[in-house]
Amino acid sequence: MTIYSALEERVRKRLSQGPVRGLYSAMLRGLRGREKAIAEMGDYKAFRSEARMIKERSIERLFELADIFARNAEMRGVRVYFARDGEEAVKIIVGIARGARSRLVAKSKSLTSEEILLNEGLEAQGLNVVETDLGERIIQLARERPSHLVFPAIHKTIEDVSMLFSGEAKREVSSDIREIMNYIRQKLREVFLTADIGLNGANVAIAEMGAVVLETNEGNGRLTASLPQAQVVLVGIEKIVETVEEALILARAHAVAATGQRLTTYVSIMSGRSPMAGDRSREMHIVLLDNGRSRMLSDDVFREALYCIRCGACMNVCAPYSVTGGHIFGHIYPGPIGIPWTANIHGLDEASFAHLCISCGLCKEVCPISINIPLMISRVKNLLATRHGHPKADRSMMRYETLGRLASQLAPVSNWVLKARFSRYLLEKLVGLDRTVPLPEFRRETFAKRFHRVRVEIPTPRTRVALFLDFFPNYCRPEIAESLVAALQLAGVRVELPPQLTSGYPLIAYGDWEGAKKYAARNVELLSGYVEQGYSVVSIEPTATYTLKNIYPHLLKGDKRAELLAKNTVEALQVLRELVSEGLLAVKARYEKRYGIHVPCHQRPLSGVENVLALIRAAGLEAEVIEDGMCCGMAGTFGMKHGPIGRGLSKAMGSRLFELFTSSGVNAIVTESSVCAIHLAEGTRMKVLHPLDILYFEKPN
Amino acid sequence: MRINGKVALFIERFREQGGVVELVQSWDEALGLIEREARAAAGSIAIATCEIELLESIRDRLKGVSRLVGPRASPAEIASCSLGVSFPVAGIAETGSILEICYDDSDRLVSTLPPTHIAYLESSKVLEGLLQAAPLIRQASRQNAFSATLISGPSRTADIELRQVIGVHGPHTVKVLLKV
Ligand code: SF4
Ligand code: SF4
Repeated sequence: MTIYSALEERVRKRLSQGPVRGLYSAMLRGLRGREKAIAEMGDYKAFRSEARMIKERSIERLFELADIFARNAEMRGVRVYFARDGEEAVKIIVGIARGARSRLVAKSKSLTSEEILLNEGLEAQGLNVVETDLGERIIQLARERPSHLVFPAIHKTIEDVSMLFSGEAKREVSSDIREIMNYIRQKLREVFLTADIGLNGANVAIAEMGAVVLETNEGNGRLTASLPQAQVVLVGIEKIVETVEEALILARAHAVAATGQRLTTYVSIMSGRSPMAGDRSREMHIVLLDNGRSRMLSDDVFREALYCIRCGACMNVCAPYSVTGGHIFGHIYPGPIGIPWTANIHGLDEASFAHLCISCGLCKEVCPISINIPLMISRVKNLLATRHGHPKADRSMMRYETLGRLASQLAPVSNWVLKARFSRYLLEKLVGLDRTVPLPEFRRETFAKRFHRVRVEIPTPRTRVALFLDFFPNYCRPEIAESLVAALQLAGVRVELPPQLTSGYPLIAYGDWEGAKKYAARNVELLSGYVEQGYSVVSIEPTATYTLKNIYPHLLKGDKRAELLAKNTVEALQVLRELVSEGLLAVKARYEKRYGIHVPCHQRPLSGVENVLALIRAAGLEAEVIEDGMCCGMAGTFGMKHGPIGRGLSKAMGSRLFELFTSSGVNAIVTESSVCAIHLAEGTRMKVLHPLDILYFEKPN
Repeated sequence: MRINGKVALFIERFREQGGVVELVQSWDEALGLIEREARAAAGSIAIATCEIELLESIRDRLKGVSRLVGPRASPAEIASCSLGVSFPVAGIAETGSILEICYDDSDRLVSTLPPTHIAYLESSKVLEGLLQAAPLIRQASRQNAFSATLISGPSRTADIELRQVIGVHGPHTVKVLLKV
């Protein structure tokens, strides 16, 4: 069994059981809380960029800060250790426990300790390690792994928990939440008061005072850190910042993004080992862990993973994670950021769950540090492909451009063929294209072929634009591009159609970096001449716009022309909206309906819904945005692939959004993305239109 | 009684997070409320390190009402108390938090182990933004060892089926007696 088919098997099983219970609502709760907290903050954009800058400069000075931190902590009588890897860290902590003649360790939640399997290492030496965070304790008793960073036991029902605690107590602990809380409070109180070692991680460490920062809501962190004779803190070296101000900003960012709290209930900053009732014989040990982090530091792409503050927001927005859960979409580190961490810390093959990522890009958008997680995931897929090759369906989907060109040249015959059951069966077998997925019709006369008929010479243009088409507007929906060109020309805009390839985004999505770079380089070459002459590049499909603006500059690092192209690429609806607001165009409605707007993922970091909403409203139509904040599940060609990692997951991801639309009372759906449209139309059985299907433009009176 | 912007914001946010704020005009009035709580709680009262006058006045007031434990009592003694009284160094309006700075961990336990935590805070110590707490923390770091804790309401969890439960390992009730 290959690593891919093993993963497929796990996803198939999961899909047959339905989504992980409780997970989706936990994610939504996290997302809604975050939005509310951000709304209260005023200039969140500035706050976020400050948080990012803190991590950038701290990671830049990582070794220097680690030295300052160690010096300042040692000055206060703390023993500081550097552990090269997990094994060494476990050995050090076992040594400390032996020295303290410890039997009982009270531990508060630490993902870093899970990274190095610390509990197992300590237990192997006969130590009794008790997790004191409620969720972690549940997981520990169940002998499982956490399925979510913030809510590790979210997949457990209250009945499961009552059974686990009854087993531990050897008496019945009922499923009444109060009784469970009383039980855990009493049970762990004994542990806190009798443990000889308190073990915790650190959310942040502060170099200027050799301090560690620990955030907990339950208060267990305060007790593990204060009661036992010896305190042991395991800190990943990437957690160190220089100043207390920086630490406070990260603590705020963490709480806001994780749960929508202003701060975690208890944020403790501890420096040196405080006496207890005057007893100064107590100890503090800090273990600074490398375990692959310095290697990540020297990698251009993976370096950003070190900026993570472990808030879990990225998993709250990840649609495939919402269906599969952290036990499949994760190794020890779950969720989106778990992919680059796993690949670097636990080995590339353990990160095969990267194949579940549908490249929606949303994790980057919610990350309080704006970490480019999708790019790192694409890199992991790329490295996996170097080792194992690309999965069959991915290989075919990456040849979409050739296939599209062929289908268009052979249209309408190709359209009949693509509808025939037997050929669909063959396509499924041969190229992995699911036989049941609805396919668009291909046009023999592509937009590129029609353009000369549509184009009007504008002798003294107001402005000049070069059109970027991408796949669908060229091969399947040329009338969209036609409407756009007509409107632009009406407003006195000169339109050109430069020779071009499609954006190549599927290659990024499936991890073919070499191929994607070729697309990027070629398009930059073809379009830059126009940009240099003062043209804006106007792009119709959100994914294409996103690729030109947000991906090419990363793929072609240092290429000034790619940066210039990114800066001068504009969304089609943005241009139309500006022309309307400048009074150069009037927007009118073709059909009077109540529309529900679907926001394609790649549009979120661009204009979001602003342009489409403004235009629809200017045309006098009613519209509302319908969303759960996650991807609809189509994700380009992902949902067209046969099998659980494709159509199976795609349908499961989409089902919740479909339900939102069908129960919303709107009459039709509007979206700018052609692939989302296919998925939504199938899933909701509603009419799905492009904004340019329902709007038209006139010269104002 | 006029309550200015940042104090009002502190009160609003601390309450939103499940904390209780009661306004008092003087330490004496606060003592009256502590006495009332002590009578209701019917257990020992743990007290954190504070100025000697405050300590003596609380001792006097609770004579014959409750046993006063501390400052600097043992963990077991503090764990047996039904009420802990502490003296935060600041309130933070932006996050609805109080800031405690301790140089002995028994002081931290006063706001952690008993089921009810009462914090006496003068409104002049309420700061607008979180970052204004930094100089206080930096000043504390001149000592060899310290802990600074931002407390934003009672302890809580939503770890079981996302049900919000107040009062896990820390107190169920956190009450700020805010002198205005
Ligand atoms: S890009 Fe989308 S699918 Fe991929 S990990 Fe991020 S949120 Fe999940
Ligand atoms: S990657 Fe960003 S969003 Fe995800 S856990 Fe880390 S900091 Fe939070």
